[in-house]
Amino acid sequence: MAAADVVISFALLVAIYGTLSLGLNLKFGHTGLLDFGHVGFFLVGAYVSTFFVLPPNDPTDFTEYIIGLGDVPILGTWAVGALVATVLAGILGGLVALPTIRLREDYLAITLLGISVIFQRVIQSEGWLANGPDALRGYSPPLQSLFPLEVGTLAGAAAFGLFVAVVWAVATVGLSLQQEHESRLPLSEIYTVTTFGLASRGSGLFGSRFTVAAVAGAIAGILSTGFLVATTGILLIGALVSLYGWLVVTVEIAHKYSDLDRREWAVGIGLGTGLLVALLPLPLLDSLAASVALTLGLLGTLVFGYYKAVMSIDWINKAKLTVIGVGGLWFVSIWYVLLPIADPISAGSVSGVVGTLFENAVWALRFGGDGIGYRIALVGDVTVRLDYSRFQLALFVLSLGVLYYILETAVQSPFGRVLRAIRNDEDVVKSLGKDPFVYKIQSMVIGSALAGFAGAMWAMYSQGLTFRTGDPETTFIALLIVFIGGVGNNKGVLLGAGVYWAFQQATTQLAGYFPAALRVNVLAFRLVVIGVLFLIVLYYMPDGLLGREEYSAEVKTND
Amino acid sequence: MTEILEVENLQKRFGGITAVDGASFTIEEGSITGLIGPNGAGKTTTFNLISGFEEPDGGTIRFRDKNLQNIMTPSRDERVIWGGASALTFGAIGGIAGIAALGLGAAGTLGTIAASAGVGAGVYAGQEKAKQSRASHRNSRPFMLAREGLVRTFQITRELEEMTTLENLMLAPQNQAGENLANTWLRQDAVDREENAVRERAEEMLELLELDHVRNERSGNLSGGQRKLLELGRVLMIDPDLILLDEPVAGVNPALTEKLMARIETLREEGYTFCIVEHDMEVIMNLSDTIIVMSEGKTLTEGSPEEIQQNEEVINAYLGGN
Amino acid sequence: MAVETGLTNAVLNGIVTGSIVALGAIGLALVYDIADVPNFAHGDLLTLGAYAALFVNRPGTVPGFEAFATDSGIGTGGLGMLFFVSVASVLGTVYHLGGIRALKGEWWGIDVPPAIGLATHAIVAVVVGALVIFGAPSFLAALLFAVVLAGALVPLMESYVFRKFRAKEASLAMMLIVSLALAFIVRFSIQTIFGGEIRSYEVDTVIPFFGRELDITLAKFFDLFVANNGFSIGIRETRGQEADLLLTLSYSWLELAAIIGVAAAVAWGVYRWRKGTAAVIGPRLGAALGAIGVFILGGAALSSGSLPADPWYGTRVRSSPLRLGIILTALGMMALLHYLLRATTLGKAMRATSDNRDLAMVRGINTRRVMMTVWIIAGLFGALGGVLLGFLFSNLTINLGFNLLLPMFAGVILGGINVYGAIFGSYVVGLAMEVGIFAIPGLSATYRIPVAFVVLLIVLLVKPEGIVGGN
Repeated sequence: MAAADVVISFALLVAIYGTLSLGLNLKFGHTGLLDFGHVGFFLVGAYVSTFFVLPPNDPTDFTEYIIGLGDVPILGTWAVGALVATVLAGILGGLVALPTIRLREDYLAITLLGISVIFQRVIQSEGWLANGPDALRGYSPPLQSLFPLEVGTLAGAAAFGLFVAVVWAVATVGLSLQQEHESRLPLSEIYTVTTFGLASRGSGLFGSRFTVAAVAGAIAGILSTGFLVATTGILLIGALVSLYGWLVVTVEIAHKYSDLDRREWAVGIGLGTGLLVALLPLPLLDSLAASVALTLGLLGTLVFGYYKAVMSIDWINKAKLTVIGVGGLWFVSIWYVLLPIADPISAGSVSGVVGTLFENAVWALRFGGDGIGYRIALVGDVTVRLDYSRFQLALFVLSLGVLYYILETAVQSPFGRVLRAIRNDEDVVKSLGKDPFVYKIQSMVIGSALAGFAGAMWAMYSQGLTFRTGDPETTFIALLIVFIGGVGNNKGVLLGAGVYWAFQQATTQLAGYFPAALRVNVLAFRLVVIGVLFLIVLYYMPDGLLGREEYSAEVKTND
Repeated sequence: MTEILEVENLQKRFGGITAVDGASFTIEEGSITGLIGPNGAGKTTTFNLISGFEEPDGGTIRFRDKNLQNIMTPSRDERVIWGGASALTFGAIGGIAGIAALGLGAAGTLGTIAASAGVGAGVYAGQEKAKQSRASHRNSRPFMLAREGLVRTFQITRELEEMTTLENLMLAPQNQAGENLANTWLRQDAVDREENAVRERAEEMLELLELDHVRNERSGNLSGGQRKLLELGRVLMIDPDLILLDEPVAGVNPALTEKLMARIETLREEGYTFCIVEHDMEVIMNLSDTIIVMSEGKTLTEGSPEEIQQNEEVINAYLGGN
Repeated sequence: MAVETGLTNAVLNGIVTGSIVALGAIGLALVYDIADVPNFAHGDLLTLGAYAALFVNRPGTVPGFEAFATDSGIGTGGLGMLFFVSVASVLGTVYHLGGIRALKGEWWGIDVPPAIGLATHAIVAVVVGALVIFGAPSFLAALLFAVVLAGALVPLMESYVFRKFRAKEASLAMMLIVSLALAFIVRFSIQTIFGGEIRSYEVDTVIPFFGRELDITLAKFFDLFVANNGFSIGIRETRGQEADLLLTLSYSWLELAAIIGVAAAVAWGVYRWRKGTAAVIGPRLGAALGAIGVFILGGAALSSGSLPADPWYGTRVRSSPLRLGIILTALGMMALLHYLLRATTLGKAMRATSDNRDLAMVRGINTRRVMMTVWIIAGLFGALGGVLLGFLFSNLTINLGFNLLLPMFAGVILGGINVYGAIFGSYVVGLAMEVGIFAIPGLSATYRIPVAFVVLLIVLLVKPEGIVGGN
């Protein structure tokens, strides 16, 4: 599997947990309501949306559930399911909040946790409702019937077009931010081209970079749909989109780290290499105990050295997070790019090396399996296709983008200002003629609705739900994500979700080196590390990576 | 001159201690009224009662001839919402009790009825109790007073410390369209327009209070005097009729005090009414038109600054209070 | 004759559940009240205690430690380690109370020469260590080991985590989140070591009892009858199909009235006698003890008679000596705590700190020591509760304590965040759980925690600051 596929499944989870955590951030970060039962609404959303997609209950089989609307036209679709799940979770959030919201913060947290446990127990014990303690399976994900895509047909081409549109729009937003900085590359010219000239209009509807990106994405999507109806040039479009993505990512990284000194680079690369060296005993040594001990020892040394350096050397202290970022990038590029080509290199296979690199470069397409075949110089025969998870990612990112926009509009408005004032001091809000109660309820409704939508996404992603979906641990993780990124900072929440899942993804891979009998222990140890990291975040950077968002209340220039 | 606020026989007890014990006074519209008295005379409690942050045990407060309690009583709509919420919750509990009754037979049914009666009585008693406590949302509705034009500041400044000075001011104006969630999404243009107007007013206020150099500073980082100014500015943004200032110059340096006093004077000229609790006698004597003296929870006397300075009773009260 | 279990049985179960909840809730309430930490990690302290007992009780099942296990128990090396850990735990617990000076006896509240203080602590530590290794692998030795270990480990939470956050003036919400992170660390550290398998203790459940053998885990039936000639109790034990009648207690109405009358009189007398005193045994406690004493004495003296042939009403209570023992243990621990709070300098300092920390500090009370005491007690009681819970459930899972966290919190909040209130609240919650499951048909046992929570919700709706009042 190419590294790109790992990244895709990672991004799916980031989208789901990002949505979930955005909801919690509205409640806790913006309004100060510590909802330890946030996962309850996630659970409700997941199950409710599933009921809309499942076929009617068949009494003769082993699964038992109250209702399955999958056969009803229009109503029984994933879109209606997700919508109802969102609305219902919101209403439920409001109802739960009505009597509880006046409690003091610790009582509120515990009470809401209790309510989420009640939801969970109902699912667990009532066999007729949603198959009781056993998993509820059978969710057929949205539009999966279109796959494998028939690019010659309009439906297939349109699905591909949707993917292109979303990737294009996201990349364009990134580029639009970057082209304002100095660069050796002709970024603004590229921006003009990729936005099909829209950006130069610069006013009215096209004054906002988001609208420009959305329209540019739509145009790119329509163009590629048309192209794919007429031809089978899927590789061409995939390569184009991938390259655009790489360009934006590269420019972003280059800009972010452009002001680093050579010594800071050195420390970062040293950290990344150190991590790699520390992990080497796992695959290389035969004795499990020895390799674990050696790895833990090396990791401990690395962390201790970093801690000492941060504490005693001033310039490292200043760049303590940046060097970790550099180290992480370095590690990722070695792990996913250099190590996979190590084998072909040692075998002397040029086509192997180039092929692996090529697969990673054209990340937008899945290689291998059924698909459209090509013969490429140096690589040889390949088959490519757009697989379902890439399409699903496009769907998720699209909905996340829309929700993020709606949410950001709300928190940047006077409404959001009142919420932040409530978090600061409720009495002041009262003395200024505003009823905090009304705002808290609204915050709970919107936050819970987001959790409900995240639940619907989870149902689409996992296709199998159990009552464990509502474990309190999930709330804990959402809270961690909020704290990593920055409490009350929506952008930070998305970053936090990324950091968290990057850690998860990396450690899941490591767990693969251990014998199956120890898997539980290793996964538990990972949670210990997460707990420790959470404490470190809480203590050393309570405002998270991005800090609290500054709402400067400047005149909107329609950026 | 008309009376804007009328306090009659005000009572407030905390546990066994009577904080306010039959205070009565009036405040004239367009005046600056000082409220003084030795420590423990009940000034701050009186303030909390007038501003709705505490509920009196007896007596009446009228603001523009409207009883404060009436202003703060929930409207019918709100009662319907609350009734609905309670009915939903307790209905569910009643339902569970009903099912339980089915399973238990006759003795069980009797028991359930008794238990329900107990729960009902508990709810009733609890609500009665809650009426006396600030913890209950339903009875702590000082925000209704601000909407009527009666606002207060706090003795220890309570700026919204994570928000900027500008944001603090922009929060205050009433009925902003953008405070409605639906408007922020559906009527963005109107919200933006109003937001710009509010911002303009806030900028003017910053200039007036000479806070414009800290407009984007987090208000938690302001100096004590700046915070006092900010609180004053924040209530002025509401454009109220009566402003209750709780120790506006405590901890403020003399130069700034001078400035604050001048500002209050100017605002009075513009038609605002002030009621001020303050320990700095010089300030209160210079500023006030009328001074009300409180002692041991009662109004001792009332008069112009000159009269008060010569009043034997007042002097005794202060000496006795120490 | 056969009688069915009914409400009385549910009530007794409720008292057992309430006792276990109370053992946990006491520590939770103390920490909540005095250290201002709503400790979400408290449930996992119970789990910690329960798993720590395995080192003594089932050393062969502890990964990494099984090397020291032998067929008959633990090898010398293992015993040595257990001895060392026990001794270190006892000394460490004392060390938490104020470092080396505490070890020299400074915390006793009276002047002692340092040598005597040191020697006493050392002797206690060695005795505890000896009890653990000579008792191993018995259940009681395991219990002792778990309790002393928790007493030393749990306060580390305060010194390494919560104190640091308190110094940064973290809000209550922040403390809540911090404790949640700690809960994660504790729970999954245990799982990292022990893996996912379900564990259990090995306990010799048959004890000699008045010349017979008694299996304490085996259920006994207490049949209660009300008939026209009085009230009687039959105690039975099931052996296969047979239900042997072990004991009959029978009282005529007159005898019953006499016992109740004397009990009331004694209670009233004791109440008058103790009224106005602020001693360990106050008027209400004294009255209750007097009445209970009369009931036991009178019940034993007048117990002759036989079971009625044609009762008006009969009901069965199903319980085991173990479950009754849990009630007694909980009561005993509460009595100990009550004594500590009322009669010792440390206890008085704790109560003063609970009332007003700033005032206590001004009055020269060592609030830091009070804080550490609270955490030590939380650890001791938590571990005890955890081990008992593991024994009662006969298997240990990683969520053992966390599942009990919500009922504990419900009890603490119901009681208004103080120790006595928490004990009361725990019994309310325990009774609500068991009676609720019994009374509401179709409600499976999974709903225990929801029932506890519904009770909490109702109370909070009516009185947002808890039954007894807030901080």
